[in-house]
Amino acid sequence: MTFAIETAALSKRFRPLRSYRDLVAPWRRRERLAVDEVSLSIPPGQVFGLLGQNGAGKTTLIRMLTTLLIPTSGTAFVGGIDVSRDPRAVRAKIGLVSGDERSFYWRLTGRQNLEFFAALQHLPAAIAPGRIADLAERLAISEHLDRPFGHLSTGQRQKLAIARGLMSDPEILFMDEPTRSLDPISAVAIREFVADHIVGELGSTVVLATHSMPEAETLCRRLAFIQDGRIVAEGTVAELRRAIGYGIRCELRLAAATGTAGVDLAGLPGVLAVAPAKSPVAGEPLVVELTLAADDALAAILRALVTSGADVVGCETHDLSLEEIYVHTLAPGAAPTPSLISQAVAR
Amino acid sequence: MTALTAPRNPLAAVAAAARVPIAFFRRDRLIETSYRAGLILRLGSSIVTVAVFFFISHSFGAAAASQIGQYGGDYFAFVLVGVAMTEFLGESVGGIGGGLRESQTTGTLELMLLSPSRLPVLLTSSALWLQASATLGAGTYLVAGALLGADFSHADLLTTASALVLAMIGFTGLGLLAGGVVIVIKRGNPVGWLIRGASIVLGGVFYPTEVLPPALQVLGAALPMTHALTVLRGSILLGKGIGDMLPSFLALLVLSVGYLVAGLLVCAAAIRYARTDGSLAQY
Repeated sequence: MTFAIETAALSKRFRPLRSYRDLVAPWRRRERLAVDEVSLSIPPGQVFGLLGQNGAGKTTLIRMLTTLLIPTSGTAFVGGIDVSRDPRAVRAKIGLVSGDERSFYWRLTGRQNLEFFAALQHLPAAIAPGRIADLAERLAISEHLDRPFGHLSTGQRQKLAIARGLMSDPEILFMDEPTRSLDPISAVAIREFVADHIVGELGSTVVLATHSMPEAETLCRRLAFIQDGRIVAEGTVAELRRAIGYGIRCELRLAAATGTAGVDLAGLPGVLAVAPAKSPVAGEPLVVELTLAADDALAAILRALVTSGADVVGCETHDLSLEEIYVHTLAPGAAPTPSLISQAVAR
Repeated sequence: MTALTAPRNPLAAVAAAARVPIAFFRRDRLIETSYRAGLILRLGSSIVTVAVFFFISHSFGAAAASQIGQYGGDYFAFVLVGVAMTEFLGESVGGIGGGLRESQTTGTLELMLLSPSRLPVLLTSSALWLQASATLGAGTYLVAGALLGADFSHADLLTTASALVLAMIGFTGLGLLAGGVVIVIKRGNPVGWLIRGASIVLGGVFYPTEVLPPALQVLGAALPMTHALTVLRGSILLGKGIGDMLPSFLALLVLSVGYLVAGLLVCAAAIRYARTDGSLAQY
């Protein structure tokens, strides 16, 4: 199979200049490993997600794949071309959409900005106006194209960034937090555009770095979790869920009068975690959240509760969300309970 | 996917090749002309400068006449040519470095470098509007000077235009040298200031280089400004042709091409450095 992107042991170490003394004594410069031997194979025509905390190495990885950063070691092929050997040929195949709205000329209109970048992309003068109009129409920004960029809303600017990234009809589009700081409606519109137009109609490959779990879950066929520059997990959501061994979340509702009837839920087979029971409001059932290894543990739990005299008034199960999988994968050793998630988010 | 192939028709090929430079020129023109107050202030500043030199020449010009006899003896016309050339140098050395730094901080440098356009095309194209703007600025000095009595009627236009083009090439090279350093150190424009200062002191902007000590004259001979002023003063003030000033013209040619190549190499090395240390975009 030919992959849209293939990397092998791709690494990036930075040795930043902190002062003029570092110029005189370069051996004193401290090294920082930003991307550590990343090996990925991304098939064409799908959205691949990169998830990780701030500073995990997502943007550094994207910058190496887009030729903006020279790798320290390892290899990377984008569209079948080695990024180190022929970066210009790689650039002819890719587009980049960044969440940073400053990378435009604020005194120029949206159209003037797009015309400038279209020329840089060697888009023929006869084609560029039509392409700009088409993209603007699809992104619903036609009526804003002739306003100065600085007068546009964040959502309109982000749509212009997407239009710029698609100007040369790239085989592979890199999107670095494209919906950062967008309101939910604008974010949904952009997700739909990515799924329907970029992947659905154009058949492009999209590499998406994002902190938005709903976005990743909606768009990405495969995902990679990156931490401290390393890929710590990769696969479909189902594969990632299986990989951490936590399959099911279960919410039990027990009559307040009986509670758990003394059953030690945490000690039952297949129960991986029990969230502290919420205090029942008078007359309301007690709610207990369990994390189970698999759904076959549920029958034994219910049997134990009923046998002990507990009144089970409700039971709901659902798969772990991507957010829960993410938190557990990047904070191993702890079960993905809601309280853990809130702690991790707070950190 | 859209096929972006090279056009076969030679005219279309030329048009395609010119697309990137034209795009840069248009971008910079649109941005510059959007600051209308700045344009008016600049025009006013040029006229005030011309007025200052007019009165200085009236007061002390006679004393300087013997020193600049080989340029016709009129200090006002002599110094106006020098000041006009500092417009070109200032726009190149300050503008290119400043532009590169600004594009580094806004992130547009990354977006430009992400295109399949060649680096030398991107770098030289970014200087086009600066040169056009400098031409307007220099033109203002000369027109205002002519209105106040400076005599440019003998000008050899072909020689003047040729020397100006070479000077622009050389100054662009110097601007790229300064810009390359700005990309690496990310603050100020120290090389730009050095080049500007050296060109003004050693290049003969306000006085003929012959008044300098011999050692400084040797240093000055390594600057395009020195030879550009020799040729331009000869052509504008005395109507001399290229053949009459061949050594200076050739020195200007060699230095200009040499500095342009050096500037492109330094900028390419600086961008490679930034690609290695991750500072192509730095906020």
